[in-house]
Amino acid sequence: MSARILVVDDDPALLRVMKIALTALGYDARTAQTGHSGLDDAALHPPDAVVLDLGLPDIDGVEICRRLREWSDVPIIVLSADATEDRKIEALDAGADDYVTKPFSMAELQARLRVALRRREGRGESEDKASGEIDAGPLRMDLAHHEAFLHGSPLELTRREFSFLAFLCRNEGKVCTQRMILEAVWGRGYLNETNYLREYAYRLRRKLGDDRGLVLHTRPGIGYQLVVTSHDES
Amino acid sequence: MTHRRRLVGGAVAILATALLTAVMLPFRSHLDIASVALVFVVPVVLGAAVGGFVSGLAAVSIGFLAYDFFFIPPYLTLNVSRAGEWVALAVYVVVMLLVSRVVDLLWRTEARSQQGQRDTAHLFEMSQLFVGERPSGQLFEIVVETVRDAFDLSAVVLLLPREGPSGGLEVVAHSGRPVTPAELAQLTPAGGSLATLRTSAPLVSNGLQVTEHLQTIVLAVQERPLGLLGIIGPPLPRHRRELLTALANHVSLSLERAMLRDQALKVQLLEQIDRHRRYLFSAVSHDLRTPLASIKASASALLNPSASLSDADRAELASLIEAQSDRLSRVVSNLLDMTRIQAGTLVLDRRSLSVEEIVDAVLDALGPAAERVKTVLPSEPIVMKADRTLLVEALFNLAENALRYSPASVPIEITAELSPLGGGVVSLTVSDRGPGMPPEQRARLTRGFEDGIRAPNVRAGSGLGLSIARAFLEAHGGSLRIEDAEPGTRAIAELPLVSESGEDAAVSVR
Repeated sequence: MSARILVVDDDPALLRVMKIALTALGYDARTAQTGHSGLDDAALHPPDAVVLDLGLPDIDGVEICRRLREWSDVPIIVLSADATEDRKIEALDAGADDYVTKPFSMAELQARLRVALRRREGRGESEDKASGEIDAGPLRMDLAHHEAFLHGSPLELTRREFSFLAFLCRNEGKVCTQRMILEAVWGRGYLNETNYLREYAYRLRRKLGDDRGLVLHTRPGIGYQLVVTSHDES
Repeated sequence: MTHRRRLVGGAVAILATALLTAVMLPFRSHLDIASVALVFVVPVVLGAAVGGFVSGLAAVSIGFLAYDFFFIPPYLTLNVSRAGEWVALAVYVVVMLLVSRVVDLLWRTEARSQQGQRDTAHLFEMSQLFVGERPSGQLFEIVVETVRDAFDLSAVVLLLPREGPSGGLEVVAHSGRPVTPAELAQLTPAGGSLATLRTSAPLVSNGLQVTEHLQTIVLAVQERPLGLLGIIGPPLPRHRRELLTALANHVSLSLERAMLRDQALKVQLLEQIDRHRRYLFSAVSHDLRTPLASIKASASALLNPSASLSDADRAELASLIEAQSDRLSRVVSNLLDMTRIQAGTLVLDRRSLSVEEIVDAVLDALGPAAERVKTVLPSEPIVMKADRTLLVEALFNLAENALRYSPASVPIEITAELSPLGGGVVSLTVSDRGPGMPPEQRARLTRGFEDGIRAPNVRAGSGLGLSIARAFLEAHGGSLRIEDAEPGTRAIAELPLVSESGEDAAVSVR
């Protein structure tokens, strides 16, 4: 069954393009021109992913993220025409998973959708697993024993590196804002210490290595995103 | 106490003594010498009251001589025959000296308290300067007038640093007789700027530099010089100089306050310009990116090898690219026209055209969305002289905005009519049945370009569209207003049928 994508944008031309292109890419595409009709459609035909414009005439996009999150954990990819970063960050903090800046190519959106949909599937699996263990593609983390394995071989991680990676692993595929990570890993008092993040992301990248089925993306000025690139479970 | 007053006091005492002597002389055998002494108190008191202690002293001497010469036997000599009369004369002199001293003191106290009252009044007047919100120019005038009045000076000038990098001081207010350039040069510090004053002036705070009858008072707050007060007049006694220092402090504080207020206004203006720029930037970026987003999405879908597009899909994507390119080029030319209007370089291409023609062109430009537009036009055609492109754009922006805010099932309405008030004005009304807008948002939408305040839910695009419509209408001598239609919103464009400035006139707005 093809994944159902709901696109909410107030520009009818863009909705038309998205409908044609997403259908051609094998998705079941639905469109809504206002925030209200988008929320209604999401409730009546629960989508597998939502592509949401931030500047809608009736409800603010960030508010729609918040309302959707009240009852759904559907991946939300935010479309933003604003060159400013703070709106995207607001949306990510309100529960959005990723963002794409207008104008964007369909290939780019397709890649983001793939990550978001995989994350959704992965989440379904991890719910069945015993608590105390999380995984993302080739990465498995044993929270109780503070051990991490990549393709079955153990990773040497400090305490902080472990919690940083665990947070990203738990949110695999989602763009985590700097604020989210700092608050979860270091605590509320460290919200401005973004240089910690740069340092630890650098160390983690070295330990995860290149091309091993897992990539840690930096989203400049926004945050970090752990993405599974190959799906061989080992 | 001036010399003149002393002379007048002495003269008064002499006259009074002479008069009283003349009056009493015929009865001197009947008067006892104690009564005469009592009468001679009068000239002494008068003399002392008018001329002070020195005049009182003169009055006592004259009184003594007149008393002895005319009223103490043997008459017309200064001899005194009896011991008792010696006593009377001695008592007279002592008492009179005391009297004139007391009168003089009373007089001085009175004069000082009057001066004190005047000084208090001046200080009060100065302190009033703090409270009022006066323009700086008026404040400067009041300062020089008050200072000149308070010290009976012949001229007062206020010098402040010149605006701009050149520095130097300039006269901003002047009161009293004209000040010669030579005097002005003497009043200003070497180099003519406050910067040199700070280092070279012997007195840093509100000090006084006395140079003959020209004095310079440095106006400073917390040892930071603000300007100079130059005064020309008689040298001031010490207690008056203290008052001048107090006044100078008041002046400094009120000047500083006025300068801070001017600065605050400037900052406010800059902030407004900055907000405006940011708003404009975000509005322009939205209006350019929106069609661009469809174009890029369509083109990238056409190029995507994994997308299995039917021929019909390909054709539709291609025509979407074309339509959105038109939209983009329309935004760009609107922005260029708008810039030219703001720069005052746009020349209207006025031609005869009918309202019907404009409305048709708008419906054409709206494309498929035109189905949602209902038009109400008068039976008689309305013909006007206007720039076709700009008017069509203005009305198109209004219609597009109305469509965006109206539910898809409800049509919007475009009405054209001659204003019932007459005067050759046509009004074009675009009404929608959207959610309407709160009044402050309505005002913001059309003002968008000026103050850039943006309500959280207002689309940047709509703000820009209305601003463009308004600018194009105003270029025609028309106006745009937004009204609440309950339900919905009404945009009313009013235009004169023929411009007053005549055909092909260059129009500059603001």
